[in-house]
This record gives sequence, C-alpha cells and structure tokens, in this order.
Amino acid sequence: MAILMRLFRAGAPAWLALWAGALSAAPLRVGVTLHPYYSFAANIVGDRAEIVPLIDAGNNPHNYTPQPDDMKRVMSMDVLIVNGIGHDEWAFAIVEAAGRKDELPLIYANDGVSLIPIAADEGQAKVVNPHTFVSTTAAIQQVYTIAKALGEIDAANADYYRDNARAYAASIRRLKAEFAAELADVDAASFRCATMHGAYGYLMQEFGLQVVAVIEPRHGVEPTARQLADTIEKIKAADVNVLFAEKYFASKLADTIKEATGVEMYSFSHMSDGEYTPDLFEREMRANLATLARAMRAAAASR
Amino acid sequence: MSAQVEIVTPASGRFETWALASVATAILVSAGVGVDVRQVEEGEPRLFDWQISAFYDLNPTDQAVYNAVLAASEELWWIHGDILTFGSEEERADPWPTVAQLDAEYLMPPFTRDMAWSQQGSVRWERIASFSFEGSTVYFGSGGQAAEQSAYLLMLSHVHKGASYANGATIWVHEDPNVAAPDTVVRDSLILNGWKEVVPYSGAMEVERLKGA
Repeated sequence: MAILMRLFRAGAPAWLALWAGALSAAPLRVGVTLHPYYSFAANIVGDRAEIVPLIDAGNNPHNYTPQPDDMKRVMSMDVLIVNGIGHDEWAFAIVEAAGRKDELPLIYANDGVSLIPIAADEGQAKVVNPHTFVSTTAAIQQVYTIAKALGEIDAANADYYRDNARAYAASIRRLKAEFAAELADVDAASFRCATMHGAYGYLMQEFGLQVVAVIEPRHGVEPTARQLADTIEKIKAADVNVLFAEKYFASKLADTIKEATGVEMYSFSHMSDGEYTPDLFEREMRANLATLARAMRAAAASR
Repeated sequence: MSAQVEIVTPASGRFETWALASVATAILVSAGVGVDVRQVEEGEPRLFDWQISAFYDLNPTDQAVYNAVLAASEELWWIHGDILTFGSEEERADPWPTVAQLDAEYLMPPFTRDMAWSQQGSVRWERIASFSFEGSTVYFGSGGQAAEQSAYLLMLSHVHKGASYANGATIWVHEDPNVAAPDTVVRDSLILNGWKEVVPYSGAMEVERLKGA
C-alpha cells in the first residue's frame, strides 16, 4: 500500500498537469440569447467551441419569463453573447439570479452597430430599434464584433474565428446581392409599406426602402383604438400598398387593417422561432428577401 | 343678577389649515429644489458643433449610406491587412481595394452598384489615393441624387501613425452632394469647408444608457 501511495505521489504532478491540460483543452462554451446569435456564433467557431442557447427553443423572446433550467445553463457557460439593447433583457435577470453578474464575460453584439430609430416615429421621441439581427449589413457588423471578442477570450483560435467570420459575412453579402440583382428592374417608387412590428427597419434601410408606418406603437404593445384609427388614416393618406405582418405571431389587427385599407399582406420572419441551427439566419433571411421581392413585384404590377 | 354672556369662538380649522399648507409648501419647495439639484441630464449625446449624430440628425438616406460605410470600414482594414501580408510587391505598394473591387469582388455596400445603391441616390465613389499617407486612405462619395442627400468622406487612418482617431475610421458628410473632393483631410480644414463628422449612436452607448455600464 505504501508503495502504491509513493507511486501515486510521485506521479501526482504529471496527473495534475494532464488534468489541467484536459480542462484547458475543453472547448469554449459560448452562450447565446437569440436564434440569429446561435447562427452567427456557430459559423464563427466551427467545431472549436460549443454553442449553448440560454433559453429553450419555442419561447417568445419578447415576453420571456426566466426558468430554473436557464440558470443551470448559464452556470456552464464561459461567455454569453447578448443583444443588450432591448431584445433580451431577461438574460441579465438570469445571469444575476445565477450569481454570475460580475464574472461571466458578456459579448454585446451591437457594440459597434450604428443604431437607427423605430421607423415612422416622426414627431415623437426617437426610440432605438433593437432588431439589428434582422438585417444583412448590421448582422455582418455583429458577426465581426463577436468574432473579435471570442478571439480575445480564446486567443489560440482568434485567426480561425476571424477567417470564418469573413467567409460567413461574404456568404451573407452574396445572399443579399442575389436578391438585389433580381430586384434591379423592379420600380421601387411604387412600393410603399407599413409593418405590424418595428423589426424590419434595418432590413428595409439596406435596400433603400422606407417604412411609412409601424402599427404596434411599441414592442409587443397593441395600439389603442385611437392609435389604430390614426394609423389606418396614415396608411390611406400615404397610399401604402403593402403590409408586412409577423410570420410566427398571428394578429387579428393585421386582418382589421387589411380590411380597412385594402393593402396586400405579407409575412416576414422575426428569426426567433424554431430550433437553433447554424443555417437558421441565412435560411430565414432568404425567405424574408424572397417575400420582399414578391411584395415589390406585386406592388409594381398593381400601379 | 345680571347674566354674564361669554362669547365662545367657534372652533375653526383656520390655524391648522395654514399650518398644513405651510408644511406642504415647504415640502414641495424643498423637493423641487432637491430634484433640480440632483437631476442628471440624459438624452442626446453631447457633440461638438462640427459633429452631427447619425441617429438624431441624418435623414433616412444619409443614415443608410452612413451605416453601410461604417460597417465597410471594419472590413476595409482587414482587406488592407491581407494585401500587406499576402499581396504581391505591386499590390503592397497600393494596399487598399479600389472602388471597382469593392463593387464587383466584395459586393460591399455602399460601393456595390445594386438596388440599394440606386435607391440611395446612385452615389459616385472614388478612392482618393493622393490623400494616402503612411498607409491611410480616403474614400469620397458625391453626386447622390436622392432628396436632401449629402456627400460623404470615409477616412481610414493608422492610429499608430499619429492620427487622432481611436477607431481608425471617421466618416464626414457635406450638405452639398456635388461638393468637390477636399484638397486636404486635415480636420480643421474640413470643418472650415463645411464638412461635419458623423458620430454614431452605437449599441455600446445604448447599453451604457440602459445599464449605466
């Protein structure tokens, strides 16, 4: 027994070194709050880190209530990627409840993004639009911010992350270029749109299009009867011909407005539903751009 | 026996009313003074008079072009680094991509001539190599045809070469979309000639406002 103990003691430093090595070689566990951040992070880290969604798929991030399992997940993360400008406030409550407020590194994806106000807020106080992830240009900026921050945490893979980020950005740009080319011959002057939700300002801006009216006065807040009547008047006065509703959030309001104004209705994806997958962002963006193309062609044909 | 008459003053709340009113007034006045003294000004970020806010001051077209230029500036530095590292000797002598490359090869807004480019006024972009100094360069956009559109200047400057821009990129606008390219990009000269530096309202600023971080 004594011999065994002596052998163990003699080998202890080597065992500890091996154990420490195994720990340090463990892949980074990168937490994400929203579906697009899962796609961004997965495309940046490839197989050199593990992506952990903070909340289960199928929840609505607009009115999410933290659950006990969220705290378990946050305990296992090395870093958490957040929107931080109003779309995932519940994440901060979870981090605080888990006691990791002062020690879990947070990557604020929007740090370098130049924010825009919610569209069609003329005459009112300008309110920041937090939907930077429903876009291509602002999405690419967030991909770069995330890649740089991950490279600082995991310096050994910094170049790998940067190269992947650039390749992913190029892929997003090609996607946008594909639809921009398809729409090159469409007369955009006849396209005048309103949206149910303020989520699409960045996307429209990238195509040089303006949103005339946003139906919900604030995020997830249904308009009062007075506000709805005013919006309907605004839609009629501005000759709006297209209304974009939410793909996964049914609303009777959209039907009411369609009935009152005669606008054509289409649905955009808010990119916050379904399973977390690396290709979700590009798949949903492709669907949104196809919808935009259909709407623009229909608007041009109707004039 | 004469009857004594005593006049009894009816109970009145007059004194209490005055006392209460005085105390209430004192509380209101002291609270007002306190609020006035302690209030923290919040709202639009403070800017110099030669700066404007991308969030508050730019019209939608300028805002769209500005946001595209700001996003491009990050990648322009990376392309610049690639050319310096992997480029031929000839490429390293002029280590910034041309506008033609940004259009066709990189599909990079706002330089690429796609639908957004035409919707946003069909701005003519050029790289002004004559301003290049010690590795820095300038992209100049003019001739935009959208209503109330500006001219644009993207300056990419090496921080370690003594330039004053911590992020290595500054973006300026001029209210005349057809203004001639500036003769120099020295800051004071740009200011004197009507250029305004655009300051973003970034996600970092919004996080600071929301969380005081």
